[in-house]
Amino acid sequence: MDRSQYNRCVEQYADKLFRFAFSSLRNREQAEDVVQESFARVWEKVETIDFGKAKSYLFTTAHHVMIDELRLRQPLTSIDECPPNELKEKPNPYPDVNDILHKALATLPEAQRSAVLLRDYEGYSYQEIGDITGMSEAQVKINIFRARTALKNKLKSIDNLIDIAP
Amino acid sequence: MNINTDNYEAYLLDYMEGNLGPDETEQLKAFVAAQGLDWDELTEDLPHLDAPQIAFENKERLKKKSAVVPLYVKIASAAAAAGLLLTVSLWPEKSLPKVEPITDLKPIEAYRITPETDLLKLPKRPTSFVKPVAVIKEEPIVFEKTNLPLMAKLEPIRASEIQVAQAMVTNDAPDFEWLTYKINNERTFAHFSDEDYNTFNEDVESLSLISRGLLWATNGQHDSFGSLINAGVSKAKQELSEAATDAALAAYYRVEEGFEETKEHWQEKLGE
Repeated sequence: MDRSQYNRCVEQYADKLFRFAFSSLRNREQAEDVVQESFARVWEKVETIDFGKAKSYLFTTAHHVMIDELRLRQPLTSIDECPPNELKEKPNPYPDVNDILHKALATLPEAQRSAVLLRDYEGYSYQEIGDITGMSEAQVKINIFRARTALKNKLKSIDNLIDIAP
Repeated sequence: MNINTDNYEAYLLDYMEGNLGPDETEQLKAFVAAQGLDWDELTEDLPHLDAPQIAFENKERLKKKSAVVPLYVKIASAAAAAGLLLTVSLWPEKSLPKVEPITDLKPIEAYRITPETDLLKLPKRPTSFVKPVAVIKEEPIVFEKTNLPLMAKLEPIRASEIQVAQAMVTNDAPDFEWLTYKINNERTFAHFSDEDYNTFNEDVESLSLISRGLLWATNGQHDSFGSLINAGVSKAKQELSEAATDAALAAYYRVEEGFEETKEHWQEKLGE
């Protein structure tokens, strides 16, 4: 990959990488750091990276950088602990399903969250997700199934609260 | 298909995505029933995430700019190199630096300069300071790689350029008397703070276009005055006129942004 191809990678993948990092970390500054670190590592090895594989390389690097970041944090156990979305100017008093899902995402284990984000945001195959996260294809499927089931249960519990409200 | 408690969720996902055949589906249903799990609940529709529209705002900062040297800089530095041949051609051949490639530095080769005589040795700095001048020539300096073949050759030679610039300084090159006089006087440095000293070194490095210009002017064939003289290029001095030298130096100073200001600054610092 040469300089112009690297710059094309920035154009094509910086937003996606930031979206992936932000959805995992829910912190703009840390997500920006992940993006910058990922691109810095790609630049260090730019000559050895094939342009066609740059996206996977970037997401793999971002995944590892995020794991390091998340290890320093206490895991969240409920939606209530989840920090607000910093990218929204005003909190939405009537959050839609996607808002709730993204908030609930923060309560999932890292492996489940990364797998479902890579699948739903980037459309990666299970094999590709396995390559990025270091999991087997079966582990990826299990994590995605568990992530979706957990998200479904979060939605159900919120539905129940609405149903019983006076 | 070997369904067990460790992998049945993977098969459930396959089933929900329509990737299980009838026989495999029956096996999966049998396994779920045997575990006392609720098939209908397990196979309810599962949510998917919609990707939000989020932009990374600092893309330009991530991009890498080209290391192409503007044409006017090339012209000026080449002209300066040609003009300065008049000065350096007077140097004894044995006093010129050798440039030895260091091959184990990746991805860019760096060069170490080995002066053969004391002529290129700068005055020693008082021991109370952190970085003596001599350190410059001992440290391999690696630069970011450029894709331009010629520039790839030029970038690693900053160490050489520093040596040449310093040699110019110590050899009374035109217009450098102000620096020559003081740099040879150890007492001068006694009045310098470390910050002053570092800034001074940076300013000396700013003269480094000269050797770069040499390489450019000789199409990458010669990266030091020693190389030129060894190749007999010094004979070309007969063809260089006084006017060309003046023009080259004038051009050189123009592209060295802030050169006059820098010069004035150090003249003031040095008490002139």
